Amino acid sequence: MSGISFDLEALESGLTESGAMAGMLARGGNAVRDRAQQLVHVDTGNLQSSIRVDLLVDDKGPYARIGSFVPYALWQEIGTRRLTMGRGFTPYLRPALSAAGEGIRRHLSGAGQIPTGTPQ
Amino acid sequence: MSVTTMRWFPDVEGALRTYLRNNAYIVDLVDNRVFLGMPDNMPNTSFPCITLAEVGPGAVDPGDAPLSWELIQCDCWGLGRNKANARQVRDALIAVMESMPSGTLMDANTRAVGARTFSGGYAPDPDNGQARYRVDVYIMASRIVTGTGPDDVFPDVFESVI
Repeated sequence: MSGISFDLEALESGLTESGAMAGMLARGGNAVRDRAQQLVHVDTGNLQSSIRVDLLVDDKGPYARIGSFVPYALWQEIGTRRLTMGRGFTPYLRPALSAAGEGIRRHLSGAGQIPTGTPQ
Repeated sequence: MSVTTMRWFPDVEGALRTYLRNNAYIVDLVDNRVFLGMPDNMPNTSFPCITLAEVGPGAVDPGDAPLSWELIQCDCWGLGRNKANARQVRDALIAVMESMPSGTLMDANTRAVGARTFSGGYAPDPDNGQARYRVDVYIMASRIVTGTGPDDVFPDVFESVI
């Protein structure tokens, strides 16, 4: 992915059913994507609509990749010398991951629901 | 009549700036050029420097001694396209943060509980190629409790009668 992405791994879930794991990864990934789409700065909507979730598998197991192919996705997430906070530098993936993280951990442990965009 | 309890959380970003500006290893590399965001019209000669940006509060624990758990992006800028210079600043920042003992006073009002760093890798400026390494720092901190009198036990948590 040429833009920016974060990987959500399922290794610590303790789940052995690959189907159940994939389902939970998909729900967790969708929760992060939904929150990121709420947080991202919208001008044309191109970046917002490009944020996607891919379910992938490597030698460590399945994981969800959340990100965007849009070239400027990275700069909006981490800023530049000119794009400072509030002026083009508007992090959206890391805050979304952080906001959804606790709910995902609870969900993977069977103790709760994944939040779907509730601001913290 | 109702009683409202106010709980004050620490300004972790500001406290981190103060802490870094007073750290000998950081000062040796960037003097006091640790900023909350890139200053406007920053001269090219005023590098290397570190800029901080609060990416977002990770979580808060609203107990009697409120804790804040925040993610702060630290950009380590080198002089011009000098990647090695930016890397020096990054390495010093990581070393300083990873070796910060629990209980460290970051500034007069903020006590660190712990910090973890995650290197975001090399991300030069897309406009002019200026060298930059990004480091994400997770910091847990509390607002400091001062005083010895019975009313000063938790001066950061006070009650007001409305």
